[in-house]
Amino acid sequence: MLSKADQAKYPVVPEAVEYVRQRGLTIEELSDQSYIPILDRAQERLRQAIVQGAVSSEWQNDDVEILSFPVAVYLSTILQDDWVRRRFALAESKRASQFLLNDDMSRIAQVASKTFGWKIDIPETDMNERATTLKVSFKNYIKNALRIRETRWKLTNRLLDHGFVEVNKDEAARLLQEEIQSRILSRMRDVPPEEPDFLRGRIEELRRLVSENRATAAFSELPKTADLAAMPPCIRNLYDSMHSGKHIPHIGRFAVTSFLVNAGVSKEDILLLFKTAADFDEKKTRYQVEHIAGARGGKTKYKPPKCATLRTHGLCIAPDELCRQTSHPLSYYRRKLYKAFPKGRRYAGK
Amino acid sequence: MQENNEYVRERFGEYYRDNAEKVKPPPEMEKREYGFLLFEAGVMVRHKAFKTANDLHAFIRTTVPAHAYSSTAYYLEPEEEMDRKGWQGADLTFDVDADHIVTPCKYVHDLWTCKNCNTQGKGPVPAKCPKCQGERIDEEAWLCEICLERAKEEVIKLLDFLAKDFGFLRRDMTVCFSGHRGYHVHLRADEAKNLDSDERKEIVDYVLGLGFDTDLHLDLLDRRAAPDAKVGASGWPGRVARGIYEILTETSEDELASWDINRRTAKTIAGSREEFASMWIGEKATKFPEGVGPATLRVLIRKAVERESAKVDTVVTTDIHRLIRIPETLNGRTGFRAAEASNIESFDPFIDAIAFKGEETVHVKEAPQFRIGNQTFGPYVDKVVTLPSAAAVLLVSKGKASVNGE
Repeated sequence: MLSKADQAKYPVVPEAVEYVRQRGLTIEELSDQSYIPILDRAQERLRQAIVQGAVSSEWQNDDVEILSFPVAVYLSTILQDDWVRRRFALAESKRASQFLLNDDMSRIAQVASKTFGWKIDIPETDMNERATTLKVSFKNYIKNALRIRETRWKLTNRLLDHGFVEVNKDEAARLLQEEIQSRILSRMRDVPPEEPDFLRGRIEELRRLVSENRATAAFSELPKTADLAAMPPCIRNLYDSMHSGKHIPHIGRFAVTSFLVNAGVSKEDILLLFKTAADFDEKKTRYQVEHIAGARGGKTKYKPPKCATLRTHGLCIAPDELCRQTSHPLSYYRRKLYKAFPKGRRYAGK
Repeated sequence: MQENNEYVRERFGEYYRDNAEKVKPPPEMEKREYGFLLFEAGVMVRHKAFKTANDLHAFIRTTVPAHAYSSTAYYLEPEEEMDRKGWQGADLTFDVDADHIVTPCKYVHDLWTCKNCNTQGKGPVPAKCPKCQGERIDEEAWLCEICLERAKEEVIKLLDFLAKDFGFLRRDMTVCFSGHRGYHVHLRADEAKNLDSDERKEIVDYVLGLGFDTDLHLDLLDRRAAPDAKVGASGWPGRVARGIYEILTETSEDELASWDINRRTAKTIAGSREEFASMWIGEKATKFPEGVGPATLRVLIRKAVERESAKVDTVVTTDIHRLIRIPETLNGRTGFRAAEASNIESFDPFIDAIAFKGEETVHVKEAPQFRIGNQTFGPYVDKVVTLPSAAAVLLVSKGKASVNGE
């Protein structure tokens, strides 16, 4: 059983969730004077996440700390802003991960298995405070390690034995950080709740902080014609192959098409490119291009596969310096365009 | 052309009339999508569903498909459009195909044709036609014993990865011959069912040894301490140690020298094989022979990874909506059965996957030597021969023979 102080450290553990549930807190009650310390702390958690990208690990009162977490989740849901959601989840997960690092391995194992259902093979040494490693089911391992980019996290570079990956304390805490982050994100509902009057002031203050702190360089829109020179080597290679009528595998076609769709190239222009392909079938190709562009079927506009996927399928060819700094062909493209047209003239092709 | 197609279809029809009930639907068959490629040029029937094995057998018996597939995925509504099917999970599936393995015999039996100037050549398809520089090239692959034997070795390595590294149970894995140039491995375990595409990709990368960072395996490069990576070790470190050990005991000085290893070092290694190899087995710290540095060891590690990895197709495993050949159906490219290989080591596709009985006289344009059962046939060039039906269907399906003497 986790103590109150532990629940304050790890607000996603079932004990903390249960504690909050038993208190039966309602939105109306929050307007009561006695809840001001909780609202203050919740607002502070969010403020720190927005401004510093980190939530402080000090607190006055266990109750306030435990109860302020769900209130902070509630506030960030009201803000209805994806950037805030992700920044808050990251900051809170880092805070919890830091606490885990200073706790015993047995506590780490307990949080992992009780809160997140990890399958853990307790090593022969038995789980005690001196334990330095943990054997984690490969399934739990890859789910979280996949989001970490360094090569040492790749399963290929781990000791995998009969379904278990051995991790040290730092690594276990880092993997749990990813797990906690997704848990927090999943707790924020997509549909924002109504904005109660008594919270208006706090919400406005947070909104002001968001606009001050959010990176200004949000350029999600790309020029309408593809800039060949800014394409990553993999897409450029596929593009050239198609242009010269060479046969390329299905996943390669998908990568080029979805890349061009996202780069703002029209469906007609993409079809022209396919026309030189060895086995061109206009009707079929049009269907596929429209499907990828989101005009058909599920209406989803597909994104090209990320670098790791292209590597798996052998389509990552001659990566350059910028490739090493990016993990997605589209982010490569955006960054290269941005370098070419730093300001103002960025969308020269439009 | 039409007649040949009709001939193969008739043989398939006869086969399914008596044997359709041998077709093995996948577990939880009612949650699967089924697809069929018909003999009528390019007609694909998809998004079908069957409640019972009898329904599936009856459909196959009446339609006589050239190819029959079922989804690796489980769906709530398998007959709906893709977005409305309601994905419930998928088997972890692997495809091992000779296409992904370089074998020397490809130079004997694989033929490519430039679509531009009709130049032909043997072996792997070149990037450009050597004559006209054209890049549109047709490929015609043959299935041969050496290629299939190599594919089998890859399957055996894969099963070892799945059992020893991933901890899956052998009884949850089914191995089937594809009926052409390789094998499919179906893994059905709760642990694997809900893996998403990225997670499956990580498993593929692991068995392929993709992303293996030599520098992270510093114990393999440590010249003073005995490495942890003993031949008996688990996971990749053990596989690399075993790979290097085998390379050292089998590879000639000339071959070593052909791999980015300079001649003098190759000579040193070949001269002190046993000493060098023992460092992967022995308990005490062993020194490298003089003159063998980390650069050489990196080459050996790379070669060991190449040797120990299981060459699987990357697309099949990561596609969680994949259709895959149904076990015990016929493959329209060969007429062979996609036979279940419950004992992969002793499985012989040229015996265990034969579907047809009887004989047929055909006109063979050109065919390499091949075996059906215990009998060897060919090579043939422009010859009328009487062959077992299985051989005739194989050659006709492959476009290497015709039934009407044309």
